[in-house]
Amino acid sequence: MKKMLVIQVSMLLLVSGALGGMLYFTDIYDDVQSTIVEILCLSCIKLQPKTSREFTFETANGKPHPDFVVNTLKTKGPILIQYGESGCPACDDMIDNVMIPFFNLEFREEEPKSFKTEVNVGNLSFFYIYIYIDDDNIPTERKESDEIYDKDHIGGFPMFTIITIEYDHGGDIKPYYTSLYGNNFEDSYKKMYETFIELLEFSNELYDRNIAGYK
Amino acid sequence: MKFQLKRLITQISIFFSANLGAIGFKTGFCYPFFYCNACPAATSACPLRAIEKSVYDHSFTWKLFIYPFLILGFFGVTTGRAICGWACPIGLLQRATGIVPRRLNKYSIIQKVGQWKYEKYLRYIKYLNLIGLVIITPFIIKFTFTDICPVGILTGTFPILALNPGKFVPSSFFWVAMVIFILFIILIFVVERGWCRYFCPIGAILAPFNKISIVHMSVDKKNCTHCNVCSNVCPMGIDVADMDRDPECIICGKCVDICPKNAIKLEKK
Repeated sequence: MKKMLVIQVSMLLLVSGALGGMLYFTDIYDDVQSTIVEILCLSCIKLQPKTSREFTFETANGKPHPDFVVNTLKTKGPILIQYGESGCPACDDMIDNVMIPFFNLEFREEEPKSFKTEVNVGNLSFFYIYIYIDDDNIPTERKESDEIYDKDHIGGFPMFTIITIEYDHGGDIKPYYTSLYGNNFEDSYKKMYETFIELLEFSNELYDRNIAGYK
Repeated sequence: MKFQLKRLITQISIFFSANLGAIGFKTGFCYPFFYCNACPAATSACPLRAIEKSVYDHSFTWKLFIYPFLILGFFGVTTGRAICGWACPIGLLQRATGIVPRRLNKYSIIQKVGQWKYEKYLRYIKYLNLIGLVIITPFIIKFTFTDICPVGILTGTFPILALNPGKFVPSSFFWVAMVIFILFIILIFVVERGWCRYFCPIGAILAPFNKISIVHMSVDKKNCTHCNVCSNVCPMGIDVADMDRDPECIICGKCVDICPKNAIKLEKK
């Protein structure tokens, strides 16, 4: 009986000590909250969101566009943001079959996986930002930007967001964006690439038309 | 009966607590039981999802891997698999559906299945599920248990489809998962606690803790007359009279209530 008590007390101290230590000394609580609980897992629901390609001025949660987006729009051009996470087969599918073969992007195997780069495809140029939400040291502004661009209020991150600028008919030139969810918004990877090109060409056109008046 | 009423109240209370995400309460904890973080009302993460993410595609994030085991370990050391019997919403569902297999028990074919000599080996499937589909296949081939999880269909897919009509289309695993979900429903209507007995990976994590848990069932062998009334009511199909900290025991207490000799007790040491 005493032996069992010793085992029980030791195990309890070990487990609760380790758990308490993890919660106190690491960011595991915030990680789990922001990357699992607050983001809709498409693998878990075995569904893909339908995508509308309409551009809009309205951010999904009413918050303003983050500084990294505003600054990039002022200096670089239209932006394509891609969100990714660990354990997301749809994210891997798009990286392996669209982003690498068609856009010649290079993705890192090791963390930090997030990166940004200018991309030129034919006459088209845009600024690409990959936000891997499981990266440890990713700025909060970037990590939480998916909520701003969850255009169709899915509750998960939009896998792709294309942002440009447009005149809002109220006298201002503002960021103007659309989001694409999941990996089945077209029948084939080639068509998905063509959709990207179409949306990015439209974005470039708006950008060139409006950049002079964008402050 | 008081014991069972207490258990029912606890199960219902925990079910509502697990769904406080409906009023915006989202935490960074993992559930110590089986419930899907994709449920629109979920407050916490599915421990299996955390483990899968930690080992996905040849990666290893130690924090995310250890965290769910520590949470389950804490409850395992204190209460063993009482979590399955007292807290798990899927356990509550099976408690409700358990009436059907009990009625079916009068048919000889069902009795034969129940007495099948290899039945005890089926209980190891849950360990294979845990090691194979939650750890190994996500690591090697990016195939996860959550891709086909029937609990995800029940608590994630259906509510999301109901709340967002027309916003989603099936993904590549949808129909496979639906078939598994139908089999899951058939199972829990044919075998009492069939999911807990044979397939639940979280039950597989908690089960070994029954060997050392503070809360456990004990049988007074001197008083026991081996009338087997306890084994007949046991939802996990355990030979209660001969059990000693059985890994399958979910501490539901049905045996305590029914024992005519009061030989079975809930111990807290």
